[in-house]
Amino acid sequence: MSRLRAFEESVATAHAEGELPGLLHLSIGGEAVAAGTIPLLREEDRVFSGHRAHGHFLAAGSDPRALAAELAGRETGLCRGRGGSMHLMDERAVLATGVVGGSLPVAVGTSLALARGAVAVVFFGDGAVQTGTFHETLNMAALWKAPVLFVCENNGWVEFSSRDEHTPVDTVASYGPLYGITTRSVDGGDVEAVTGATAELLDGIRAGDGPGLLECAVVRLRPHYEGDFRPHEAEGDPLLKLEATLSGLGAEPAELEVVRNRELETAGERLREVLDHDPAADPAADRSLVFAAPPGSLAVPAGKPKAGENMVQAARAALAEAMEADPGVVVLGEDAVAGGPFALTRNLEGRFGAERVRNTPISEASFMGVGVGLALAGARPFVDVMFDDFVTLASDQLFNHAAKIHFMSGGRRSVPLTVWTIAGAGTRWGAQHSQRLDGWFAQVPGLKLLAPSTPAMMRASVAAALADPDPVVVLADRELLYRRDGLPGDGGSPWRPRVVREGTELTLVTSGRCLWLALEATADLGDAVEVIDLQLAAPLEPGPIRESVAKTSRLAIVHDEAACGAIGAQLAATLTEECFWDLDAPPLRIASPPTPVPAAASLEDAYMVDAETIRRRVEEVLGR
Amino acid sequence: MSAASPRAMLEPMLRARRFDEALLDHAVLVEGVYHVSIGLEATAAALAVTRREGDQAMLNHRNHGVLAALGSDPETMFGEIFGRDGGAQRGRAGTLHLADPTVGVPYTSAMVGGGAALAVGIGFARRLSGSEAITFAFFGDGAMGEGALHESLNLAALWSVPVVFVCENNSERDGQRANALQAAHELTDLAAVHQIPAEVVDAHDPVELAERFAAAAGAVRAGGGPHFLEARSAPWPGNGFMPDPAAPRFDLVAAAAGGEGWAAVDPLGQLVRRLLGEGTGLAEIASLDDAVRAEMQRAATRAAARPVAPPPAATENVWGAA
Repeated sequence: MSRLRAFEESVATAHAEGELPGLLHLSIGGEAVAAGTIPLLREEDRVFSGHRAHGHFLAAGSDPRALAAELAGRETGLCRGRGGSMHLMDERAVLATGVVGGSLPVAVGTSLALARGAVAVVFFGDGAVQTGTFHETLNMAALWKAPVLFVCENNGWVEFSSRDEHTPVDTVASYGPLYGITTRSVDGGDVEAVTGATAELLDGIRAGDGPGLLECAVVRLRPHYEGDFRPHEAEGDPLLKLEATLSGLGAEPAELEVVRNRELETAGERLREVLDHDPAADPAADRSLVFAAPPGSLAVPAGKPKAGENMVQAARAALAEAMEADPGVVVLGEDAVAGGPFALTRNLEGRFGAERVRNTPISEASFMGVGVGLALAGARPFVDVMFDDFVTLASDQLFNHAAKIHFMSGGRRSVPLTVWTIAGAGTRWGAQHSQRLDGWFAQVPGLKLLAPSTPAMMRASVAAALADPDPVVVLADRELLYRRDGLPGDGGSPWRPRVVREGTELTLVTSGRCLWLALEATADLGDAVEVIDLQLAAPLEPGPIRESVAKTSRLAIVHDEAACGAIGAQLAATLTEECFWDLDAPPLRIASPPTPVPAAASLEDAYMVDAETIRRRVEEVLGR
Repeated sequence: MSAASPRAMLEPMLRARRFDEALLDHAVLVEGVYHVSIGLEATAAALAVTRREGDQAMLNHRNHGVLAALGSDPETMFGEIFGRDGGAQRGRAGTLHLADPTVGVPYTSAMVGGGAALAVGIGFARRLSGSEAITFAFFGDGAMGEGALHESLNLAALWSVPVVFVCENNSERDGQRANALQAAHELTDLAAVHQIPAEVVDAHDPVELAERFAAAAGAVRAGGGPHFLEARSAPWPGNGFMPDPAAPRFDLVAAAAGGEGWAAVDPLGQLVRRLLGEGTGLAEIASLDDAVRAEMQRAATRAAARPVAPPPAATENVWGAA
């Protein structure tokens, strides 16, 4: 506890003197919780935390020098300076996050992939209890009897306001019994009390009873973050409490003083050394840290394609083959056991068992986090988010966590997560079930997006995604699900655009259902139009398109959704920059109008790009 | 607050049932997916008889029954579902987002649990303006898995927002758990923990349900903060990914005699038998039923005869008035 306190005090001092930049949330006041829980863990157990994580990481064995260097933004830091105080990542302490509640479902996911008897512990503050993910996570943890210990450090403060301004619910412990979760409440300033309750809860969890919840009342002895002037507590220091207890047991106050001072000196010297000598993090490495493997750098697993299979069948077959070959491949999603609305995962639970194909409640925000947690623990989760529209609900875990973890960890950790989703209009289901949000994915560095147009390439995409160390979204076009047609070049790599019809006067880039429309629309224009199947929608690989434009001098892009913000905008900008002198005309984008997708058949038909429109606009640009 | 009378419940329940049956009769005209409210008429009618002018309701993808019970024009509703000219939302919304501001349903979200958060917002705005109007939020038991619902319950309790949360639970229990995907033992616990008064009511007993509904609404209107009602029902056998157009229609004469299987618990049948037991004549009920049935059939036929919805000019309706 002294060691944890000393570290934080050295950090506080350096920050006050202007030597440590950034947003620092210190664990001063929380030492009894860290010291009362983490030392009881085994080597194979895992620890998760939130933005106030230094204490947890130190207690879990993270190297204090590397931790200090991370706060100081040095190349020698735990995460090579890319994570900082709020995004620490290490072996036993897996993840700290700046998103309140963000690590809750991730801890559950990891716990499901640990060896039997191992436990994941997740620390969070009372502020996290009002997040939706808290409920979603408790529910799933209880449903699946996940071996997780939820530890709430309730200090009565949520950032700058008191708990009673955030909820009428007094105690966090109120929630546990609702879900049948074993719950204990202790004085978080009393390390013995914490230890006792933790030991009891861990026993039950390890025995397979399901998750546990421990509420620890703690005091926040510092403001919410360093440098904030708002109020914090002055009394209730757990370190003083412990020292009083030890004195009562016969320890000499002078000896305790020596221990404290020694720790403080060590921490201070160590930090001083880091600040004086360690090199600043080098930005040159940044780009290479976005992905564990650049798109296309890995061989795509060869599958056994079956003649005449459609897109859904191809995807299901690739998934089943991967599940057969690797017991780490697991499926999560709503109605996954029954197969989902398009029968993608039909029969997989029968073949591979209930632990590998799980129905989730309607909890997209959190089951995406469970997927992240599974991936961090070395499993290869396949998360089915039904409709692309619902990815919006899973945004936090996908964009703030999955996409960023490899980078923020300085390359130490990767997230081999596969997300499956079905996109596109045409079913009359209306605006919330018809979107195709490639542009959203493309904006966030750290995600790969595959959008195959044939069953063979769907097979390759699913296989490649499941073999990939990074988060990959496989986007299936609704209108193509039952289509069987192939194209020249099937069997090639899904990681780059491919020419599917050669031409000399116009390069037309597209994918999915628009690809088939474009082929139809330009079929009798001789060899005027070179049609390119984009395949990899994010990050863009412009190489083959550049080559084509050098030949044709004209570029057209066809896609669903409105033009603004879609990947067509990115393509047009990139190709204009790179091929400006080759182009004889501005790039042409053929897309839907900037409206939500209407429900009525007549309106939706008018909204959607069709062959007629493509034909007309291509002929215009060709001057015909 | 006086209890709603069985007689007052009859017409809204008949409107809800006969609307959806007319829809099933015209199922071939619906492109895409749709959901019927058969079996859930009691909550729809309870809203209809409890609601006062100015009260708002946020529904979900299963919205026909409530709208019909509230008296929304059926031809306009069918028009929207069939994608015709003159539909409620000019064809933009379809069945999943069917709404009618004139009966207090300004917008319908199809994102599960989405309406609850919006209801809290509407309720909060009303309270700020000094209005006595209250807001209802209708959602299914699956929505209790959505984090946003819990956030909504917390905020409503914290800010004492006048909302009646109505959870229509038609799932089977799973041992101690509320259902196979909900580890909580009782859905009402998830509201009660936020200090929201919460109770379970039987959706197959329309009169009891209406009384509890009215009591909750009254308490909310009196400034007591939000309330939560879990209306439990057995699922209608005709439900699946899509409803079964060949499912048996409500038979008034058979219902008067009791009915078998689901028909025995059918809330509409329960109400009919109660009314008969209290002295209402079968002829009187039949007369009302005939009129409602005819109205719904006529509305469906007329809507079906209309031309398809015309495409809007450019970005009409994307943005509000400048």
